Amino acid sequence: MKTFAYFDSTHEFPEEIIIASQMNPYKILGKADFSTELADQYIPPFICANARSFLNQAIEESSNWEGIAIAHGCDATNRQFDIWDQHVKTQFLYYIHNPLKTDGIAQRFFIREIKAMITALESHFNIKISLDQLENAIQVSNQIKILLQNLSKLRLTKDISNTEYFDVLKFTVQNPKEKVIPYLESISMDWLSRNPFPINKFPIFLTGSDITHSLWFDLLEKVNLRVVRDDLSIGERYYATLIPTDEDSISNIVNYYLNIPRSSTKHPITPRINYIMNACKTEKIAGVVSQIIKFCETFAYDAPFLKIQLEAIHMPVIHLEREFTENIDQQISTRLEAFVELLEQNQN
Amino acid sequence: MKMNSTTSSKLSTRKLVKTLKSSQKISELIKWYMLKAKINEYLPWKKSAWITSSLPVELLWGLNIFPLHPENNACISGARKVSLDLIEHAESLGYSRDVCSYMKTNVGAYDKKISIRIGGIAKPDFVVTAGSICDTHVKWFQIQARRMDVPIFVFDVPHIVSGTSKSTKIRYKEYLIEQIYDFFDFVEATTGKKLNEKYVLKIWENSARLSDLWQQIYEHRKNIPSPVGYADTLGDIFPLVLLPGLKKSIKYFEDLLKEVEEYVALGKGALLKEEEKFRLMFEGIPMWYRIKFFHQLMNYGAIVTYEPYTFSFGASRPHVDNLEDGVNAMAESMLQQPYFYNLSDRIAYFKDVIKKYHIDGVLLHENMSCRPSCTGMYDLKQKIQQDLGIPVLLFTCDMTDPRAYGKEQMQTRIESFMEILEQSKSKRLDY
Repeated sequence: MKTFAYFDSTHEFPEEIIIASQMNPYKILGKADFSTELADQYIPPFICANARSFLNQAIEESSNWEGIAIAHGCDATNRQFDIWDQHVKTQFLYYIHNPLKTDGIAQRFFIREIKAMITALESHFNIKISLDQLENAIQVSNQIKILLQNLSKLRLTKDISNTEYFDVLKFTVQNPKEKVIPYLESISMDWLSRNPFPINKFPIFLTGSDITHSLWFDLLEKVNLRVVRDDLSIGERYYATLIPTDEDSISNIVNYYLNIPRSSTKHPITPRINYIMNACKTEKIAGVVSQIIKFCETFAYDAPFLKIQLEAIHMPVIHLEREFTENIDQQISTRLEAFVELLEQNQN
Repeated sequence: MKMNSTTSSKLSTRKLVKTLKSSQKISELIKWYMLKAKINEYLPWKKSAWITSSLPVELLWGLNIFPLHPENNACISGARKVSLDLIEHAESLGYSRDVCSYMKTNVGAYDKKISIRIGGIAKPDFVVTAGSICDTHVKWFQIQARRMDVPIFVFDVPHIVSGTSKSTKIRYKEYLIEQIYDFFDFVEATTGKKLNEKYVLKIWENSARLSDLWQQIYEHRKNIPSPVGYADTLGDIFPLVLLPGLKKSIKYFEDLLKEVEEYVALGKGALLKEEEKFRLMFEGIPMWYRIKFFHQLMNYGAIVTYEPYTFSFGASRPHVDNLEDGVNAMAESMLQQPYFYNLSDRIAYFKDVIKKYHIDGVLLHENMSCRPSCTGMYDLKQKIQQDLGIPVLLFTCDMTDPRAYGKEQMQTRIESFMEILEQSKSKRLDY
C-alpha cells in the first residue's frame, strides 16, 4: 500500500480522505533519533523542535511517500509549509486549513476545503474518491477509535505502562489501517489479561504539547506516574469522539474534526479546559502533569489559567517546559519526584 | 577596510537624528488620541474595543467603536523603557519567558494600571483579534478577554501559502467576507452599535487617501539621499495603525509629504548626500526600547530606507463607493500583507524592493517574540545574498524585552556588517 504522509500540529488532518483513496495516512512524528540537523539549516532553534524534527524526517524520507499534506494547526504549519515547499522533494505537497472555530461559517468553509482537497488528490493521482469509499473509510476509522477507547479504559484498571500506551497510538497513526485493526485486537487481549493497576503508581492526567517520543513517557513511569487519561493528539484527542454517520460523509468528517477534544490552538479554549476538568472530576486522577515542549506557544499561553482552574478544585498540578532531547532532563526528573512526594502526602 | 577607533564607538554615541519637522507633530496626534481614549473611559455610552495588527481598524471606526491597540501601547511602554517591569509581572503570573513580550507587556500594563502615556490601556467593551500574523494574537486576546470578562470575536484567517491557487484564494476571501458580516452582528449584539454605511464609506475614502499619501512618501524614499529614515517612519505609522479614517491624519501625512518633496527637490536627505553611504532595508518590528539604534546607524553613514513593517500598515487600499466592495477589500487586505507574506512572495518582494530602493544591505531582526516572522528568514537571507550579492545581517533580539539586546555584541556585529557593506559596495561599484 502506498503511503501518504501528513504534518498537523494536533489532530487536524482528515485522514479518512486518504484511507478512502486507498493509501496509508502516515502521521509524521520525526525520527527515533531526535534528529533536527537538516531542518536546523532552515528553521531557527527557538522554534518548536517537534516541527523541526518533522521537517528533518521529511527531507530524509519523502521519497518513500506518494505525497504530503500539511493541515493548519499552529504557526508552524502555515509558516513552515513554504520551507517544505523549497526543501522537501515530493510530487504532491498540499495545504489544508482546518478552521480555528466551530460555528456554521467554519463548518461550511471546512466542507469546501475538504472537497477541494479531494479534487486535488483525484486530479494528481488520477483516482476517483467515491462516497462509498468515504463511508467505508469512516467505518474503518470508527472501528479503530472504538478499539482505542476500550484499550484506554484499561489504563485505569490494569497494569499498562505509559510507553505501551504511546507505542499503540504511534503504531495506529502511522500504519495501514488493515494492519492496525488486528494489531489493536491482539493488544486488547493482552491488556485484558494484565495485572491490576499497581498500587505504587499514581494515576495522572497528561496534557499539553504532543509527545512524539516514548522517552518522556518512560520518565513519568520511572517516577511512578501512570498516565491514565490525557488529551494529546497521539492520545485521546485521536479517538475520544467517533465520526458521526447521520449526514453525508464529508459533513460527518467535518463535524468530527470540529468536535474532537480541542487543542490550545483552537478557539475558544473553554472546551479544552472542560475536558480536563471533567476527567479530573469523574475519574480517579491523583494529579495533572501539564507539559510543553520548549517554544510551543499556544499551550504555554493556556498553562497559567489551567493551573488556576485545577488548583480551584484542589487537583495537584505541575507545569513543565521540556527540551527536545534523547537524554533525560535531571532537573525535570527532580521536579517530578517532588510532585510525586506531594501526591504521596495527599494520599496519606 | 578596518574600522578605526572613532568608528568603533559609533553605535554607542549619543547622536540622535531627527530629520523632518513635520514628524514632530505626531505628538499632537498621539495626545489627541490619548485624550479621546481617556474621555471614552468615563462615558458609558461610548464603546471601545481592543484590536490587533493585521485587522482593518476602519471596521471599528465605521461601527463607532473607539479602537484601543495593545500592541501600540506595548511599543510605547518599550520606548518609555518601562516594558521590562511589566513583562516580569506577567512572568510572575506563570507566562513563559519564551512567549511574546508584547503580550506580557500588555498583561503588566493592564494589571498595574499604568498611565496611557507610558502604555497603559483601559478595559474595552470587547476584543477582536485574528491569527493571520500569529497564534499569539488569538491566545493573548483569549487570555485577556477572560481576565477582563469581556466578549471576544476571533477572525479565522486562512494563510496564503506558496503556490496557493486562485480558486483557493477566492474560497478564503469568501470565508472572510462571511466572518466580517458575522462581526457586524456580534458588535450589534454586544454594544448595540450598528454599522453606519455612509460613515464607513467616508472612513474608507479617508483611509485610501492616507495610504496613497504613505505610498507617495515611500516612493520618495527611493531617492538618494533618502529624505526619510526608519527613525522617523516608526513613529509616523501611528495614524495608519489607529486613525486611518480621520481628516487630521490626512493633514499630518500631507504636511509630511510636502516636506519630503521639498527635501527631494533640494537634494536633501536625512543624511547629506555625501554622508549617505549605505542604504538599508530593515525586516521586523524595531527594538522599541532601543530606538536610538536607528539614529546611531546614521553615524556610520547608514540609513534604513525601507521597512516592510511600516509599509504594511499603509499598503494600498482601493477607493470604494459601496459596502460590498469595501468589505471585499477588507477581506483581501486581511489575507495578504507584506508583514506575513509567504516565503516565495516574501523573497520576490524583497528582491523588488532592493532593486527599486537601491538597497546596499539588509538587516533581518530575528525577533524572539515574533517566531512566525522569523520563519523563512534563513532562506530569505540566502536568496538575497546568492541572487543579488547583497549582504544580510541576521541578528537575534526582541521588540520590547530589553533582556534580549546585547549591547556589546550588537555593536561588534554592526561594525563587522558595516565593513562587509563597504567591501561589497566597492566590489559592485568596480563591477
